[in-house]
Amino acid sequence: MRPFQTTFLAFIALFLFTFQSVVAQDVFDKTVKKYYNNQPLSIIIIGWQIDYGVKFEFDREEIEGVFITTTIPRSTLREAIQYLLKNTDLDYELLPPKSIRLFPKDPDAPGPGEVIIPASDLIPSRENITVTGTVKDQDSGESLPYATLQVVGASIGSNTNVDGYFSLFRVPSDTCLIKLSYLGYKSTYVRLTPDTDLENLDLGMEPIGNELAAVEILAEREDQMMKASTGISQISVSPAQLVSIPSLGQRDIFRSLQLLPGVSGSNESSSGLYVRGGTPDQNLVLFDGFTVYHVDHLFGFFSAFNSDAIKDVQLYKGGFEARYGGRLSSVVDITGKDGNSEAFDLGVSVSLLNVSMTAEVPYANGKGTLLIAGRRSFQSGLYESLLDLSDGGATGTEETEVTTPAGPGFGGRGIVDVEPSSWFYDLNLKSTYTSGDNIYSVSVYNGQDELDNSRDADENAVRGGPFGGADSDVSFQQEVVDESNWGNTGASIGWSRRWSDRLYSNLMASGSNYFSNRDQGRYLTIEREDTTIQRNTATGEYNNLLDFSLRNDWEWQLNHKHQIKGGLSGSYLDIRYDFLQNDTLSILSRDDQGFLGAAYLQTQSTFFDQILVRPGIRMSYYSPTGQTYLEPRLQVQWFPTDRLKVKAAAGRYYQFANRIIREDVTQGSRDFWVLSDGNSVPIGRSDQLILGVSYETADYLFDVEAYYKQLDDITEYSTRFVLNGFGRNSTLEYEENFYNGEGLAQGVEFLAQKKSGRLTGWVSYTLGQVQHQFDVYGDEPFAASHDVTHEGKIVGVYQWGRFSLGGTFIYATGRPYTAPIGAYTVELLDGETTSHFAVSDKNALRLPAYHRLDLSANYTIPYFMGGNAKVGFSLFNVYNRSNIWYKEFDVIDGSILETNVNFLGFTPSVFFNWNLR
Amino acid sequence: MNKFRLLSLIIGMNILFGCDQQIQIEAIDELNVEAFLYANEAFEGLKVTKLVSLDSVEADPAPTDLAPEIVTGQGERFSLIYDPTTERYENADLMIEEDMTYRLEIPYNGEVISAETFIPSAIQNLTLSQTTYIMVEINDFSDLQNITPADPLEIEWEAEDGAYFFVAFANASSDPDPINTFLPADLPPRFQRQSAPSTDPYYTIDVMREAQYFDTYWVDIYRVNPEYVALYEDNSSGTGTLNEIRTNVENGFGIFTGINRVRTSFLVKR
Repeated sequence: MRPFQTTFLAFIALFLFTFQSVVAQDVFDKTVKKYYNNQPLSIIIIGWQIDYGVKFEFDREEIEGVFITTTIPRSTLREAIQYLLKNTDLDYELLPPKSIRLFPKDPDAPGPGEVIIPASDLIPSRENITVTGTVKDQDSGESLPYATLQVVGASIGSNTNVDGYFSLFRVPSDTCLIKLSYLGYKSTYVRLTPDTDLENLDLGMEPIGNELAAVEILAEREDQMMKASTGISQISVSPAQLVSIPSLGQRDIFRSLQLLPGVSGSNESSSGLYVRGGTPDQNLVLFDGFTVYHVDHLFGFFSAFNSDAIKDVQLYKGGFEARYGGRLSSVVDITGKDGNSEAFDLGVSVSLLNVSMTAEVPYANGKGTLLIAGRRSFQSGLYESLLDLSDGGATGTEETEVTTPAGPGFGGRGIVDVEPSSWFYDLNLKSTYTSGDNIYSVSVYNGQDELDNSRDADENAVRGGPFGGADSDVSFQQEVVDESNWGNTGASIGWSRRWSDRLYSNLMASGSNYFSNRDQGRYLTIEREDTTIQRNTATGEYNNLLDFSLRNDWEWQLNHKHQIKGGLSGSYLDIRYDFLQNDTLSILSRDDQGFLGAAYLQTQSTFFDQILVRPGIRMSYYSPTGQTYLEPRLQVQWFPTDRLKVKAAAGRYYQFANRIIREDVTQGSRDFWVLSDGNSVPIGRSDQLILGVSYETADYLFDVEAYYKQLDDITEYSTRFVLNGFGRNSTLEYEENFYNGEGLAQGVEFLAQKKSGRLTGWVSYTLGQVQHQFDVYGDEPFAASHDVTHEGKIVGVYQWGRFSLGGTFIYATGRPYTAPIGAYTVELLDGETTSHFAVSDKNALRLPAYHRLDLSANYTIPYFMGGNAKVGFSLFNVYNRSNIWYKEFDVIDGSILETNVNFLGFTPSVFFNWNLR
Repeated sequence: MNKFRLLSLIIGMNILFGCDQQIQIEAIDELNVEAFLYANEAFEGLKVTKLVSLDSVEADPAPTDLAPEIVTGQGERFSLIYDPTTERYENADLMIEEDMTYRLEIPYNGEVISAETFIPSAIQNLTLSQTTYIMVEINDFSDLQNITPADPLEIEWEAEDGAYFFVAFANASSDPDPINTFLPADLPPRFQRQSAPSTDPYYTIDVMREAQYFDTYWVDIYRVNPEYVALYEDNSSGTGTLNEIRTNVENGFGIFTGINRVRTSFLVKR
């Protein structure tokens, strides 16, 4: 049996065994449905002990003479116990893993973690009602998007929308118990009463603070960092909880997403997401409704989003619904914080990379909120380490591992010390104003990176190497100009309105601009004993993207089982790219404009209270091709039990704007966006199929998803010298080459997550394969450059009082690369000897496996300078693994010199956060 | 139960960590050829070397028993014989003519390594803005203050659009007098300076700065073919840029290209 298969089977066995053993412990989530008519509690207890494996602790005298008459609807055991005891004078305490202690009820004390009015005290006045309202953070008044509401004891539930609105239909009575849950917040039970305003019900949820962990650990908490059970291939991430896991300086949304199953975690040099075999440009990134085209600060070592300004993150790894479009693989939908509507708030954060500040200002008596957040980097030791890595150490003093045969006369590697100047910043501004059923919002983002890597050098500046310092018989003068800047600016203006408890709309106008410029020149004069050689080269690269969009989305809740969503959108895209050599020679110049119009319609229906079907269709018109593209989508979820979910999704997806990588290791790889033209850059298409099953209890989630993604008309880019003609009329052209091909991404993801308790986290494993086939490289498919066969991740956070200890471990198969299989030298007419290579088949080799362990510890200071603070440190790459980023090759005196350019080694970092509230 | 789960975890991780894919690359047996065919000159010779395999310390010795031939555009064949003193394959009878096509053929390992090139025609109407420069010998700082700036030398010529050229110039004497006696006494007696290939039919020399001696300076204008420019520009290395092989040799590697050079001169005197 091949290692691949062996590994697959071994992991399945491991997964299933872990799954089974953990499930066996979780008795409180077993389903109970009973009817008792005047039965002795002592007999019922015996029955439950036999049926559910639960153990009761009680004083026999206290239950003597207690008879139960009640109906327990289908519910979990932890809920059923409330029904069982509601007409008695007994209270209870859950003692994990499987004990329940019964004791006399104290009329002044609520149950653990809950404030519930006993239903027995209330007489329903309304039945079969509709409840609408908003779910908010009870401290800041911030609305909570995608929070879950569940009527306890009934299969009736709903989610809030992006503005925190919810509608619950066919609630049995106005005395029902509603359970609220939201990532990073304490699960909350709310008892409806006959006096409750059912049309504008404001429900508050309490954010989880680490200081509470020690005393409320038994309460239900949605305190995991991510929630993978919401839909199909959908993961919610809590920005607030990310502080608990290790990071490079400051919590980072996109770095954290890379710890999720199905998202590649082994590419430190890009904050972009490689999701299920897709590339970062195939991942749609939305921030408050506008598209963000570039998510990297500092060459990808840090993402462009300030976590302090983010409220909610939804990642759709595939099979996403019809309201999203324009990308082949995945979607990251980020909702920015509105700001505190209750009181002024201020936050300051300092790390080894940057300092950031956030201010939240309510106005108009809390109807309006304003949030301003900004970050600015400074050049610390950590920053410079990352900067050195960004160009493979060429500008810094990074020593790369050199592996070379013991060839004769290797002169060593000359290293030039320079001090590049670089910084980045980003700003977020958001204001929201609520007036009745209308919400008006403005959101602005601006971020930019600057790098000036220019330097002058001569033989006196060189340590070692073939020039050997000032006494060498070879001298040179080199002037290098290398200036780069890139960034994003985006803004959206939105108006959302709740027309009724069933109808909601959102109108949004947005604009997004991405730019990237690089001016690079190298002016070299080498003087040997009798020869002076001049080599001057210069390149300029300029990419500018404009995206103006208008979209209108509608949600219509027909009834508690059927929902319709639809919308229209139009985008004007203008993308320019110029690549110049020596200021005058235009190597590539594209200036493309296009209009992309789209309409979508999707429905959501529930059948038999067990099957949820979400079909949809998206239709896009793209002006450069003049064609219409249909994208059918379908999601189906089946809930055989409360805990078990079987899921499937399929869909077709098109992509019209593509980010192309122009690989250049010696001068740094660059990427640029181009619009598809239907010819050299065709419209990319993917067809996806996803099948999965998940099993979820209150404390654990086990999830398996298999995906299959066929990619057609994908594009790679290369500039090449092309010889045209022969003889007198032969010409050499530096041509743009867009290579078109197809790809296949398939794999299986396993996830085991512990969601609550002192220890939370997950273990995940992905077995994947990404293959591309481009005619230019031959008939056979080859492993894509981001193909990772095995990827395992372990993420754990342990709450210990005010301390939070975190650890992450990543293991991934090495990525494929193309390597030289031979080398030769040619003496040019100017006397210089240049090295050239014969190369292997495309991506025929793989780098060594990638693995890394990060650890962190945080401490919460509840009262510090009038507010609260958190201080922590992270240890990145604890055992200093030399993970190879890429390889460089050179030929020195007849030997091939192979240089491993490594990712970041062991790196400690610290941070300090302070918040007024 | 916990022990069993731990054991499963250990076994699973061992399997995961133990199955890196190892791919072996076969040793390469390919030839690199280098030949520059100068118009109106005798064939300089063909250099043949073996490629260095990735896993070897150095290249195997170049084969000396090959039977290369150069075929002219008129079908005339010239066999090349290995000369151990120059370590090249040569044929003294082969004179390179401009506007002629030449084809190289080397049977090797059951295949024929081949390459074809065209000998470009010479540039026309070569002009120099100035042929003589009079400069002051610099012996002390006062001489530096008395220097009168000289116009740069502008060299122009004509050829077909899109043709590539590069320029080299050097002083002719082996024992010239330096212009600036401040310079170290052990300066090399001959400076050679070369430009990168360009399509510009002109070149400018800042004689004041670049001429080091009172001497005659040869200026060579090379007209080169696109295949040479492609090779010259190929300075890439690394895993990301290895897919483009800039050679005009089929079933092999290297360069087989025609060149036409024209020489002129200018004088720098006291």
